[in-house]
Amino acid sequence: MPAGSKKFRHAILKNLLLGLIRKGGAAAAASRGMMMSFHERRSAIRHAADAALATARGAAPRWSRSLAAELSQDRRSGRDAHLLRSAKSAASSSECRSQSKMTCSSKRIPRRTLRARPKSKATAKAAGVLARVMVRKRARALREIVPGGRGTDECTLLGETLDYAVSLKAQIEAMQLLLRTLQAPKNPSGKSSPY
Amino acid sequence: MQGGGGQDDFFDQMLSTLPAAWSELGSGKSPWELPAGASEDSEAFDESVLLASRLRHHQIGGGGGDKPVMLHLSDLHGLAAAGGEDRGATGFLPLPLFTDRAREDMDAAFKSPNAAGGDQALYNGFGTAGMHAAAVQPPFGQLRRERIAERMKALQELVPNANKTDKASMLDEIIDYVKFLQLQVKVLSMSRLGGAAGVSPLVANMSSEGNGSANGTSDSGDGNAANGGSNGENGGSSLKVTEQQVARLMEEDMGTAMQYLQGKGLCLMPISLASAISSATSSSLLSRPSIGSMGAARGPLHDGGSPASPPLVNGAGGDDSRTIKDAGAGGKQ
Repeated sequence: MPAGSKKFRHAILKNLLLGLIRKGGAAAAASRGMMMSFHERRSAIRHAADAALATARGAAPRWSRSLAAELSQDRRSGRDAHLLRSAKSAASSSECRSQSKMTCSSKRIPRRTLRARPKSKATAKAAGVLARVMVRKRARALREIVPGGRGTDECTLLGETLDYAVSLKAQIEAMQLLLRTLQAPKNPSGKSSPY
Repeated sequence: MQGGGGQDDFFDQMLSTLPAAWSELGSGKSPWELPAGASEDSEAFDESVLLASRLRHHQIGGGGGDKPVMLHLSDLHGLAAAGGEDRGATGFLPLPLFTDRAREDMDAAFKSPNAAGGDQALYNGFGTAGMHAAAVQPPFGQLRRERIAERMKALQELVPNANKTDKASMLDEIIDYVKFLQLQVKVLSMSRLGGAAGVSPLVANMSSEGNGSANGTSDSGDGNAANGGSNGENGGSSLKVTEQQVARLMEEDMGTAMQYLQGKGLCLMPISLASAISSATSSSLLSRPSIGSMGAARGPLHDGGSPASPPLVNGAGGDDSRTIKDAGAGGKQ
């Protein structure tokens, strides 16, 4: 499901609700009952939200698969394992191909920059090198933030970041909608006006 | 091109569908699931996606024979229809982000032996002479650079506050924004399933140094008790009200919450940053306590490029509240 569509937001919401209900059931069955600590509850909700996001997004983007992988490592969540497995088989082969091509050209790009016609060769070269260093640093920072950012070249990274940012926005909107619905019992029906 | 392929090598797709592609592009049909004009997000990407497809097709076609179509700069601007691209409907915008650099690099690429004939036909728009070399394989380097520029442009449209022309600053903004969104998710997940209305466990107890109750409240997710206990030393209920108000606003709309804070002369900042500031400078800088439960502080307070995500402060539980207390203690006058 593409990141920018309304269906995506609805899918996140649906998955989130299902996940939360499931977790609520599990918590009630657990020894502690419903009285989880604040911390635990927060991470459970976060986990459910991320799982909802990853499953709604599907296996297409790299960050989605990576997120699903992280989630299934944290707990024994079965849902994300399915997503991960199906994604891996479908995407690994083509990804390897495109990745290898990308890595080839990623080596080519810096060299090309050095060969560019500068106004004065020395300063332009220095400026170019410095600019590239700065960009590298930031690319590294970005890789740490976006799940699955490691092992991607800059171009892929930017594309992943774009998709990830849009998906995060959708996730936030879905969560806000849910929150508003749950925490605004002003109407007699118990539901707030549609978002 | 087929939709939902996701990770398929788009070069293979292009080669197989080249004859049909031009008409498709003209009609603006999107091969992906993204419906045209579904949301403002997708619309932002659409026209650039078309450009990307055109670029690729053109390069292949230019290598193969005498394709009459040449992509000039004017073409790059006029696209309005949707096209296709991998990775789930992300797209590129036509303008390269840095025309000078792009021009230089493209001139260099033109001279390098790697440039294909299709490339050079493209550069006619930039005033360089055109050779004609048959190269079926698209030039990875030049295409990559263009894709990067296009994606940067698309990101620029997405991220607020993105009027930077510098790539490094742009990346900084992007990083900030993604961190901010992740933080927002964290914040929202704290108040989820809150049960009682008005639960605001998000608010930090920055203003409450020496507050022992912050550590004590660790269950039921109700931060109200912590808030109530924390603000006793602070000069009354006004701050408590502010905090609760901010927490409520944060749950609904982050933007409103930020504005509210700014209206009061406060801001969000990571705790580590707050403690660093408070220890480094005089306390007068923090004479008004910052509600520092979370958040990427924008503007002058931001430490560019720091990858560490700010520690999240709860009203209860664990290391976080201890950190709050220290920061609060440091910051108080």
